[in-house]
Parts: sequence; structure tokens; C-alpha cells
Amino acid sequence: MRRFRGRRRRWKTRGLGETGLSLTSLMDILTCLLFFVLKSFVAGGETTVPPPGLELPASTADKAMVTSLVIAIDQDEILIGSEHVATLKEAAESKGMLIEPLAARLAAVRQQMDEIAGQQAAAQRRPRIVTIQGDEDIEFAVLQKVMYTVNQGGFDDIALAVLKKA
Amino acid sequence: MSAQSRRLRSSKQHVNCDLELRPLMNVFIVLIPMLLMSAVFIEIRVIEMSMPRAVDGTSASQIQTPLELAIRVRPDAYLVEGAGVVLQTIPRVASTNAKQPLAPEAASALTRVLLGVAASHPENKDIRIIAASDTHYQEIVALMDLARAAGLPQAALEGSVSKGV
Repeated sequence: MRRFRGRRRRWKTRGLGETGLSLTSLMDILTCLLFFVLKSFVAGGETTVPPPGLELPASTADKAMVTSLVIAIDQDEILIGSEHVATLKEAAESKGMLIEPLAARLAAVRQQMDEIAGQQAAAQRRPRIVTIQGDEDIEFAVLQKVMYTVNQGGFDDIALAVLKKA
Repeated sequence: MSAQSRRLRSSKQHVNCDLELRPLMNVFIVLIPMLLMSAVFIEIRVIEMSMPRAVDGTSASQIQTPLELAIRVRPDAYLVEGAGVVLQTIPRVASTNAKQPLAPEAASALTRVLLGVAASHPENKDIRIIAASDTHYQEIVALMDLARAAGLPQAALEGSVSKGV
């Protein structure tokens, strides 16, 4: 009986230092996660996410995206930012090259940009750039009409957004 | 010294040698959500390019380059044409791979032709891609990639006058 009590006391004293949480394995996970996230971290450059369902074409182009107005063309509609502007059916049925609803929205955006530019110093003014995020399956006719409308809207440059090929 | 007192002393000298990881973990827990929010998992690049040309004859003639190098997309072939360049016809074969809009044979033939033209006219960096209205965007981007790889980085898009011609 005495021997049994002695064993129990020893077991109690041995267990005293092991009451804290073991954080080593959690630290391993966090370290791996930190390196993974650091690898995909972009400092500085402009980032954008295409609307859901839109698949950009793959390309070997390596120019980084700059801050600009983004027009997305998916299988059904044309969007500025995340705002619906016109359907592809409307764009296809427009008589000439100009897509009227897009032209009207671009005119409003350009007016806003001009107002902002008027308040800025000349050195801070940026060229008016439009980035087109087109789905890989859209037809050239739609793209051409959008580019023509953008050109008529007084925007200086056009950039086509693509996915970088691995 | 008795065995009992020795045992007491050894239990008093017990030192906790575990690393204190909690402050480091707190830093990690703040850092990881911050980095996750600014991380980019899809790498988006851009192709800067010229505006599409008007399809009427008058404006097209005003913006002609001396070489006028162009790839014309036809339903059955790609035509590489230009002033002083022998017209080259490359069959437009349907690609079996959905990820590759151009068939490998057509891509290699186009690359060979464009490299030849770029070597014989090193001053020229421009090329026009004259696409039909039903040409898919992915195919146009693939043609621009081929032209860029051949040393013709300044691609312009142009619509052909009638569909499929």
C-alpha cells in the first residue's frame, strides 16, 4: 500500500511541467502557411479579380496590370466594374459599331475622371486606360464593338487582360 | 545526505526548458489573415494594344505601315500577307486540345513564317491581325502571342470586311 502511494506521488510530480498546450505542431502549420501566402503576395501592383464565370484567355504576356477602368465581357453581358451595362444580345443587335448603353456609361465615367483630374496637379494626371476582361469564348465582333465604343469614349489606351501561362 | 533530501532538491531544480511560442503565434495569427487578404492566386497580365481599325477603305489607307504585315484569319487558313512579302497560306486545322486554340502544326508553321519575315524586315515591329467576326478571343490572343514570340510585339486588331473572308 505504501509502495502504491509513493508511485502516485511520483506520477503527480512528473505531470506538473506538461500541463501547458503543445504549440509546436500548430507553429509548423502556421509557418508553412505563412511561406505559402508570402509567395503569392503582391506588393504594390494593381490586382483584380474577374467576375465569376468569366474565363480569361491564357497568354505569355508579362506586362503587369495598371490602375484603370475595367470592362468585363462574359458570355451574357458587359459590365463596368461589377455594374451591368448591356447584354451581349444588345451589343450584337446594335446597328453600327457603337454600343449605346456602354457609350453612355463611359461618358459618365469620363466626366467623373475629368472632374477628379481637374482637381489634381498636371503631374499627377494619368492617361485614361481601359482594361478589357473578355471571356475566352467571346467572338471578335463583340470585342471589336467594345473597343470601338471605348475609343469613341475618349479613352487613350486599351489593355487586354489575360491569364499568365504557367 | 539522505535519499529523501536529495529527491526534494532535484524536484526543486526542475527548469521548464520549452520555448515560449505564444507571442510568435500571436504575430503569425495577425500576419496570415493580412497576407491572405492581399494575396493574388490568379496572375493576371495585360496585352497593351492599338485600337481596332475602321473597316472602310479611306481610314485604313491613312494608317498603313510600309510593310503592312498582317495575319488574316479565314475559315480554312491563316494568310500571312504584306507589301513585299510572299503570301503564305497555313491551313487552319481545328485543335484537339481545348486549352490550345491553335493546332500545333499551324502554330509551328506560323511561327516559322513570322520569324522569317521578322528576320528579313528587322525594323518592322507591327503586325495586324485581321479576324473574322466569329473568331474566338482565345485564338486572337494565341496569334498575338505567336507574333510577340517572333519579334513583332505591336499587334493591332482589325475586322475583316465580310464574315469569314
